[in-house]
Amino acid sequence: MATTTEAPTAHPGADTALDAADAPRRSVRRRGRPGWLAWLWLVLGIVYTPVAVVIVLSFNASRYGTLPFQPTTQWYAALASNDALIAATGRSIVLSTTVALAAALLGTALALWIVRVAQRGATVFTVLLTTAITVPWLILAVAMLLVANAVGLGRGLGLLFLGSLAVALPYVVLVVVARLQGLGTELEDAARSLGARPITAFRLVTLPLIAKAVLGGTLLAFVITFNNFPIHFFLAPFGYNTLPMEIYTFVLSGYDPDINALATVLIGVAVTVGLVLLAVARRRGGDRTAAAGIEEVWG
Amino acid sequence: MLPSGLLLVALVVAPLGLLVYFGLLSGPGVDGRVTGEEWGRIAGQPELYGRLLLRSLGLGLAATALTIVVAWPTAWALSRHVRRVRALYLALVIIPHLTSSLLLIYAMYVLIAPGGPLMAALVGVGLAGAGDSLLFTRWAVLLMLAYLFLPFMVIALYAAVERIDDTVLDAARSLGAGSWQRFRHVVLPLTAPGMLAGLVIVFTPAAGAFVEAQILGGTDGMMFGTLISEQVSRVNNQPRAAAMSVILLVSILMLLGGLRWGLRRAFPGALRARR
Repeated sequence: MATTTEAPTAHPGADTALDAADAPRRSVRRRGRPGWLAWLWLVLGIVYTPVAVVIVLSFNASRYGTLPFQPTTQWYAALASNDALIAATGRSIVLSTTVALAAALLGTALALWIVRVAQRGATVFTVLLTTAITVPWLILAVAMLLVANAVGLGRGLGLLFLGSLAVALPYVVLVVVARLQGLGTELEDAARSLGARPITAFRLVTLPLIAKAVLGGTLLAFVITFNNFPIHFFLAPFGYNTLPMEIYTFVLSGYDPDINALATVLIGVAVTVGLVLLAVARRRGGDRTAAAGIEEVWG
Repeated sequence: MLPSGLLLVALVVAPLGLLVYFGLLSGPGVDGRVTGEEWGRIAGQPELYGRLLLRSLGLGLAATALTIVVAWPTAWALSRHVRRVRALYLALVIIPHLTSSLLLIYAMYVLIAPGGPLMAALVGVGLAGAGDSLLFTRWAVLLMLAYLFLPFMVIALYAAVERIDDTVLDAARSLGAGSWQRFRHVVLPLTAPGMLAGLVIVFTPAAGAFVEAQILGGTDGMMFGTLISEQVSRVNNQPRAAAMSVILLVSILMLLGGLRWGLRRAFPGALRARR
C-alpha cells in the first residue's frame, strides 16, 4: 500500500499536469441557489421513496403490509432462518467474487494490450467493448444459451461463469484503459532507463499507479455480476438459484415481509459498499468512463 | 492478453451472430433444418408481435425522455451548485442501484400496489378513486424503467455538464445572450454528447427489459422482451426466441441511429471532433 500512495506524490506533474491542462474552468457557487438544492433533495426523495417504504414495512408486524404500524423484528428472525435465501446469497457472493477476480485479471491484461501493444486494433476493440456493454442482457443471455444448447452443453455452472464474465469484463477494461491513457509511458521508461527489467518496471511503477482503477473495475464487476438477473435466469443450472432469482420467485407470489427485511439488509450493505467505492473512485468513476467510451463511439 | 480478447469475441460477438442463423431453423430446439418458417409466423401476427415491439420501443423512449428531464437539472445542480459534498450526492443517487434491481422492482410493487402508500396518498388528495391502481399497467412499467435507469442518465449528463467551460458562458453573456439563449444555444448543445451517451445506456436496456414488465405490467404493460423470455423459459421455441431477439436488437440499433441523426440535426456541430 505504501507504494500506492507514494508513487504519484513522488512524481507530481505526470498525471496532475495533464489533467489541469484539459480541465474546463467552472465556477461553483459557494452557496448553491436554494431552488437547485431543493431540486436535488426532491430527486433524492423520489429515489429513496420505494426503498424507505420497504425499510419501514420490514419493522411492521402485519403480514400484508397493512397500516396500524406495530413495531417488530420478527421478519429479521424469519430471514435468519430462511435457508433458501441464505443459500442463494452465498451462491451469489461466490459467483460474483470469482467472476470479479477473473474479470480483473483478464480485463487488466486486455487493457494493457489495447493501450500498449495494439495500435490500430485499439479502435476495433473499443467498438467491440462498447457493443458488449450496450446489447440488452436479455438478448446476450438468450444468444449464449442457444449456442450452449446447439453445442449440446445446455445450462451449467461453467456457462453461468462465462456469461457473467463476458458481461463484466468490458467494464473493467474500459476503466483501466481510461487510467492507462491518462498515464503515458514516461515513468515506466524512466524506470527502464535506470536499469529495471520490463517486468520489474511494470510491477514497481505501472501497477501501483493503476491499482485504484483496477480495484474500482473489480468492484464494478462484482456489483454487475451480483445484479445480473437475465444472465442468471437463462444460464444458471436448474436448482442453482442466485439471490436475484430467489427474490424473483418470491416477488411473483406477491408481498412478503421476509423480502422487506432482506431488502433492508442489502441496502445497508449497498450503502457501505457505495461509500467504499466513493472513497476509492474519487474522481474517476467507472460508469463515467464507460459513458465517455460510448460518447466516443456514437458521437 | 490476446486470449481475453478472443474470449470476448467467442462469448459476445459469435453468439450474437449465430442468433441470425438460429432464427432461421425450424423449432423447437436449435438442431432443426433451415426453413425460415418462424419469421413467417412472426410476420403473420403483427397484432401481437408488431404491437409489443412498438410498445417496447415506445416505453424505452418514454423512459429515456423522463430520465433526461429529471437528470439534466440534477446534473447541473450537482456540477454548479454543490461544492464539497458533490460526490456524496452522486453516490446517494447511485447507491440503491447497487442492490439487486429485483429488490427495487419489488419495492416499487409494494409502493404502487392497491392500498399501498402511493395509492393511499393519491386517493387522499383526490387524484385517484379508491379501487384504482397503477399496478399491472404500462404506466407502472414506465415508472419502473425510468426509476431503474435514472442514475445512468445522471452520470452521463453530469460528465457532460462538468466539461462546460464557464468562459464560454461569459462570452455568450458579453455578446448579449439572455439566460434562455445561453441555455438553448450554448449549454444544451454542449451536453448533446452526454445526452447521446445517456440515450444509448438508458434506451437500450429499457427497450430490452422483460422482468419489470412481467412483475409490474400485467397484460396491459407486457413487453417484447417478456415474450422472448417466455419463448425460451415456457414455450420452448428457441428459433422463434432467436428471431425475435434479432428483431428487437436491430430495431433498437436502428432507432438509436435515427435518434443520433436527430440530435445532430438539432445541435449542428455539437457531436463531432471532441478530443
